[in-house]
Amino acid sequence: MIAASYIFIVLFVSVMLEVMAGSSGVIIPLSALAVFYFSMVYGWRFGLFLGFISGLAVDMLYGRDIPVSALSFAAVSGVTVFWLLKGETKDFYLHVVPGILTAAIAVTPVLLLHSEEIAVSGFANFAFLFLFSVTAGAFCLPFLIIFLDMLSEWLGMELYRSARENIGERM
Amino acid sequence: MLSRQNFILLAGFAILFIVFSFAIVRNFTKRVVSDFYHPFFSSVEAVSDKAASESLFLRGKGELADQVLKLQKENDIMSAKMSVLNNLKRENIELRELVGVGKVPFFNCLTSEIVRRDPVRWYEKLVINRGSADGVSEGSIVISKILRKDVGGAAFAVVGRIKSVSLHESVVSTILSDDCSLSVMVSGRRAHGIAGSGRKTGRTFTVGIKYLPKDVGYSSGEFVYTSGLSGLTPSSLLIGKLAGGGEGRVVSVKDNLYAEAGMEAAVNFDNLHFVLVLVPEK
Repeated sequence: MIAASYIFIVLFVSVMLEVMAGSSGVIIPLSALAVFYFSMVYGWRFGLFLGFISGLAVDMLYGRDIPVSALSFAAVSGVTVFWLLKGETKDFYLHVVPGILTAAIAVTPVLLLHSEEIAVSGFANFAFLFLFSVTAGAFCLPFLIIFLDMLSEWLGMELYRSARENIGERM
Repeated sequence: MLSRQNFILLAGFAILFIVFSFAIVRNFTKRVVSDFYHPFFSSVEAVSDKAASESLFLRGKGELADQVLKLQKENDIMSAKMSVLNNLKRENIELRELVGVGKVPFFNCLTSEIVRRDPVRWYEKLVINRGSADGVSEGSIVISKILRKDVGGAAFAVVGRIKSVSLHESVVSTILSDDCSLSVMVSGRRAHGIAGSGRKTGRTFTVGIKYLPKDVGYSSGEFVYTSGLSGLTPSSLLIGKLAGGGEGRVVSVKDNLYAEAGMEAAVNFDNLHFVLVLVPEK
């Protein structure tokens, strides 16, 4: 029950912060990064579900007609599988790589779907949104992992840094 | 326990099912999510508004007293104008009843703040903090205050139309969006057309007008207003002015049936923060 409340609050806040940042004209894919974190800790199947729900919330808050973020955030759990098999969970700097991948997977479908609308404001805006979100993903993920691991440790829950030790359960 | 392949298949089918059936539940989901988040977003707005209003305390008493006096004078002038307009409105209704012409719809203005904007559709969609609880309905016109250089004062121009409504919030499709179509009239020629869908070109926003009569001479700079043909849209609201096309031509004739023109929007979509929603009077 504590885990469910914890996940809900983290995703709720990340969706809210992402939408608030979005209202300033930038994409910081915080909820996709949180989905990546929880997928690593609780398994990709759970991440699929969380990604869909948080993506749907983002789409609805922006008033989008097609819930493309719901699908792209769900696809973030694919990065989890890759990172569990090939990556590392204890190196701080190496988490720039899944940060970039997560942000790219979360943002590219939305940008492509709305490429015609983005053209209204010019191609430079398209490139800016993509590059900013990828950079934000690369920068934010390592800090998010440290922060959420601290919270999880305090609450006595499973940790990200020990995700690879229980790889059998997560695959 | 499901095997991984079965799980992927099941998840794939579930996602496809949700995507294809989404159109049915979309409005419901939008309403639920935006109303759920509304108190949290509005509390953030309330804090920033409070901080802004607190800055008034930094001003001197003399300065504030001067402002109050100035506003009182403006208020008196506005009240006088309003009373004249109310008399005219009453007279208009009575005359229309005498002649047997239907009532002209009158509109109330609701001030509202833009609370969210989608970064990928920055100029096309806005979320405002007024919803069905405030009387907003789908299709209502949204306007904004602008500075008219030709008149040298403030005026109001059309931003777009309400696309969907939840209890406390509404999504606005701007005139640059494909979702928003408006019946318009070119002022000098009294030619009617349909405006909607546009793009940003340099610093200006250009909106297309279709289905204009082809046998009329148009000139660039002519003002474009709402025609008021729909019951949800008041007439004579400024939208923009005709923009000059290539080779000095303002319009291009399509299939020898109708003319198309570009219009420079009066509203600057870069600087929008507060808007007004026109709600039909009951």
